[in-house]
Amino acid sequence: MADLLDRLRRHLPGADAVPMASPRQDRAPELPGHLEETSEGPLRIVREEVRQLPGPVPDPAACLVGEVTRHHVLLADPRLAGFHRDRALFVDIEATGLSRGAGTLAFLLGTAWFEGSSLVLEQLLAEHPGQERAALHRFLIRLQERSHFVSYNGKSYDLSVLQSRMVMHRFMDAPEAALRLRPHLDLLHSGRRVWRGILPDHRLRTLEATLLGMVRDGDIPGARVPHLYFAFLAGGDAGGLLQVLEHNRRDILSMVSLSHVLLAALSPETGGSSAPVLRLNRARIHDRAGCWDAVVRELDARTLEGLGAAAREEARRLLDRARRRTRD
Amino acid sequence: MFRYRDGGKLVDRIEELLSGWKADRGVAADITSHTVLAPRGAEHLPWPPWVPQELRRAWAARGVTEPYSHQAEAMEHIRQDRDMVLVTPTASGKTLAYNVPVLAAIREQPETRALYVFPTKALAQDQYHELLALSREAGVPVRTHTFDGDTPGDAREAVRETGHVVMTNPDMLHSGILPHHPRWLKLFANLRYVVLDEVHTYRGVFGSHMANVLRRLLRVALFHGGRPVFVCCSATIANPGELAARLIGRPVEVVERSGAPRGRRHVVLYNPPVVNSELGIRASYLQKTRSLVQDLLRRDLSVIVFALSRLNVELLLKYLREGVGKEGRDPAAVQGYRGGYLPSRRREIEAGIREGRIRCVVATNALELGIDIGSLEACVVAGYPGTQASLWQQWGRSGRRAGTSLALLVARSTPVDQYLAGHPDFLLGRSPESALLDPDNPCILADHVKCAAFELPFDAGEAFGTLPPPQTGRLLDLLAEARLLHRAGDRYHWMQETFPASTVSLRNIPGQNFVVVDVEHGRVVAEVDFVGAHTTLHPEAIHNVEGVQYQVKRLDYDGRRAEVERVETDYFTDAESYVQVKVLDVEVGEDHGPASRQRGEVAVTEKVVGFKKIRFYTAENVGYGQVNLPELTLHTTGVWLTLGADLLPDLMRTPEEIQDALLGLGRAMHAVAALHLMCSVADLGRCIGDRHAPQLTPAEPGMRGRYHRAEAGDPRLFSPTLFFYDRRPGGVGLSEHLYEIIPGVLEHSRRLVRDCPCTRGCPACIGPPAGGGRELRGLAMEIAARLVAAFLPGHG
Repeated sequence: MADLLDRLRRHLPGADAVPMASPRQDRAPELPGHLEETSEGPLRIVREEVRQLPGPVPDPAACLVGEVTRHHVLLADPRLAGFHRDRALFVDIEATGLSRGAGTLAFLLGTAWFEGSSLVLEQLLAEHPGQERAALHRFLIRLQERSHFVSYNGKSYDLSVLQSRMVMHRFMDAPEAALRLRPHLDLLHSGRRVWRGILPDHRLRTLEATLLGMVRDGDIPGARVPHLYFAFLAGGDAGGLLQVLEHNRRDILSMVSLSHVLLAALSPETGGSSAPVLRLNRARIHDRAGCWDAVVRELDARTLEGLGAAAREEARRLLDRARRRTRD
Repeated sequence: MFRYRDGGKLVDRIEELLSGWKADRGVAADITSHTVLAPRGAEHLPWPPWVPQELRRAWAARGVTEPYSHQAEAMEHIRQDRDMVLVTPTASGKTLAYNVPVLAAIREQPETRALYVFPTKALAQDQYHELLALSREAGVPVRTHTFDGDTPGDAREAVRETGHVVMTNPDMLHSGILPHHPRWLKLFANLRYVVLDEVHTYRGVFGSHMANVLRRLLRVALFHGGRPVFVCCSATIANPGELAARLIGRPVEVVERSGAPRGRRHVVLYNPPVVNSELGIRASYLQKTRSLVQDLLRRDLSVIVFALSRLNVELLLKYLREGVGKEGRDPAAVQGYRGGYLPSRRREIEAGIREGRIRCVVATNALELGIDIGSLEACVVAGYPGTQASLWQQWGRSGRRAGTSLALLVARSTPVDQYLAGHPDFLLGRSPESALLDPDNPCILADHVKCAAFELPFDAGEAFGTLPPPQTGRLLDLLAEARLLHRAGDRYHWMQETFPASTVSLRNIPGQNFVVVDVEHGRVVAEVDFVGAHTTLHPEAIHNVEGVQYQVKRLDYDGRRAEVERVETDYFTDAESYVQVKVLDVEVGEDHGPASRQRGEVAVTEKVVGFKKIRFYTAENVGYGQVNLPELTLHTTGVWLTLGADLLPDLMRTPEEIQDALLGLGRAMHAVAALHLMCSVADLGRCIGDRHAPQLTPAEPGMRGRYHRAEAGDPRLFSPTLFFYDRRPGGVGLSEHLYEIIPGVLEHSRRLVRDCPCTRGCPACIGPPAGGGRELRGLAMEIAARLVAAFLPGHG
């Protein structure tokens, strides 16, 4: 068996040729934040009180202020009723791969929430796989404090990975661990409903550029994240991990701003745009929710004029239906 | 049913048929053997006390008032949580043996979960319907579903959350379920039963893979708190207990004695007569099969026919339908059957057989992966399927419970078939083959430890199934060295972006299926596997589907699509291909004077070069066409022995004789090697040739060796070489291991040939005897002895 194992080396891929740096005793000083001794072991926590947000509302104090009504109806998710920034937990994770299987590790849990008029950003980093448990445990505590999730594509990705990690670390008995039961505002899904036909695509970068007027400078592509973590683990580059932290930070701050813009776009009262296509999108949402008055309100003569031929057809159909229903 | 009254006397139609054949000089001479296997009565045992009334009633409604002895035994083992293997002939009710305890457990404790693993999707589908029907009849609410590539998305979530019995196949278990086990929490936490059906198929390299998938399964189940019992079902092989135990890594109870009744069975071997004695040509075995089957149909017997290839199935379908049509009977009473048919089609055919509308079914051996086809009176096997286990499983399709049945083998002209026809005790006297597997094959192990680490990090000091901690640890360190795993503290984590299960294939499936489209009607008429497409879908090929002829007009190779047009021709096409082996790189080699052995990388290439147009019935060659398709290449590892000129000079034999003796020795070594390597004979390729020729040409079983002399034509340069290679891309370590153990294999082969009771060679040693009466056994043994002496100088 022994030399057959040696021959096995030939069968194994030449790995990602991650250069082996000389082993360093202590990487910690190069990373931001602090190392906290938790009940589940050491955990690196990077915490920040956010002073400025990208986009139209740079002051966190003014962001997502007030109760937004009927948005849950418009987004066809009754669980989003009662959405308030005080109840929201913004979540974005970085993991070792795109697979949602058992072997994908969530090594960075990025979170943000409002405390009064301040916006707190907290990133929980597992410096090696053994610390993932501590990160998840800390995350569970946050989940006890905030009831609503906000994410970008979290419904498909982040939540699945987190759920899987909860199971793997046997945290499933904790009620907070039932992640799918929570109200969840997913900016990708909701954004598609609101901005369909207006934006060329719904990638986060596109949303940032068009809706927040922001273009990232020198950010790493998401696809590089796993490799940078592997390089860090191999005893190398803390610099790569710094880039991952920064990438994650930017993602979360964008999410906070985009939530504001999205909810505003849903209600003209709070300054939602009156662009014809946006009004048509809202009308579609109202139609699905059965809010006939709102459909009629959105699809006024000016709006119909401003639509292309096919869209106008659809608008007329929606109007007809709404009018019939109000008559009944 | 088997008897009818003829002038007041009860007559058995099969016995009448056989008397008729024996009285007919045209047939009698060609029956080389007729054995009668005595009938056996049923042995029943009462229902075990824990079986609830509802289940008993449901089975009573199906005509089962008490289980057979083997069913009762098996049920009791399962109920007592004892791992077991049930070995009984086809359709002896093994499904009942496991469905009863599983349903009883679910009824008592609704959180109980079970996993049923079948080798094919078709089989899983059939069993799903069976369990559903049973649970309804018994009034036991059971949620069950198949879980495979075709399961729609919303159904998947439901199965995961609430399914009591999940039915799947090895590949889905490997890449669809285990790597996503956190979503299967409910299943694994409550997993009480794992049913593995047709375990005799888990042999050789495929079996080694499966054993490791099961190691991973146990690991995952234990993590979630499940403690499953394994229920294995096997066809008759020589070593079912050993196979099952190696597969699951735990000792098993073996239930072998079947209590199912069996009527009298007539086992007949038929050899088509010689029609040209100068050339030794025999009548077409397909035509003879047709005429024998028509005799059976004329007596209103129900028949299942097994053919060796899809082309032969199509030919028999055509010939039989035309034959019965001419006699004024309904051609639709003859149907083909394939695992690839849609479930609805299979149900139709099965119903047709049960209701007597379909009298004859023609199939390839795909059918041996059991379905409930009902009671057939005769089974005709056209051409020996290669193993006794397969033959008996196919023959098992006739004659279920009572009454006489017929099991017939029609021999082809190939040497193996001819040997069997001439030596009936070889088939009837020997026990079936053993099935072997090697779960600790390092290449396969490494693949699965990668997957296992993805599923659950390994702790230092952990074992992997029956692989002890030290070896597991060495493997983990190796994988960590290759940066696939990362060691943090005492744990090894999967640390790659890729998903390991997607890079590991349990089976040897070279490529994607081709779709066959009838462009005129805009329909897909068939789907053909990648390898088969090269011989059956080349441009101008006549492709038969259920007796309908299509001609391939255009082949989009990269798009995996063949466009066909319906035609009616009086010929079919048969593609010609040849296989070559080329050494790419010699990794290790030793010269031992007159002999040498080497191992390294090889390329095995198969190329279709042309096709023959063959007229129906007469089998005349009426044309030829060229084929221009890409080659199929297998890059793998191989090992070869070369006989130097100094090895045998004193023996005064011609190169042809040496070649043929080496061929025979190679055949013996192939079987011995499979034994030592614990793989299947099919996992190794074998070929013979001249080391100095640019390419070696493999000898097909039954074909005399073809070799190419070195270009110079100098006899001194003739270096006969015997060659073995792994039949999996990249190799799975078989050739490497074989290189190490060559002397032992040679010696064992020599003794095998020496001790064989045959006179001039047989399929059990060097192969059927060569024509021309040459004495090759002795020469083969001599070559073996000299090679052993060369490799082990101390050996006397």
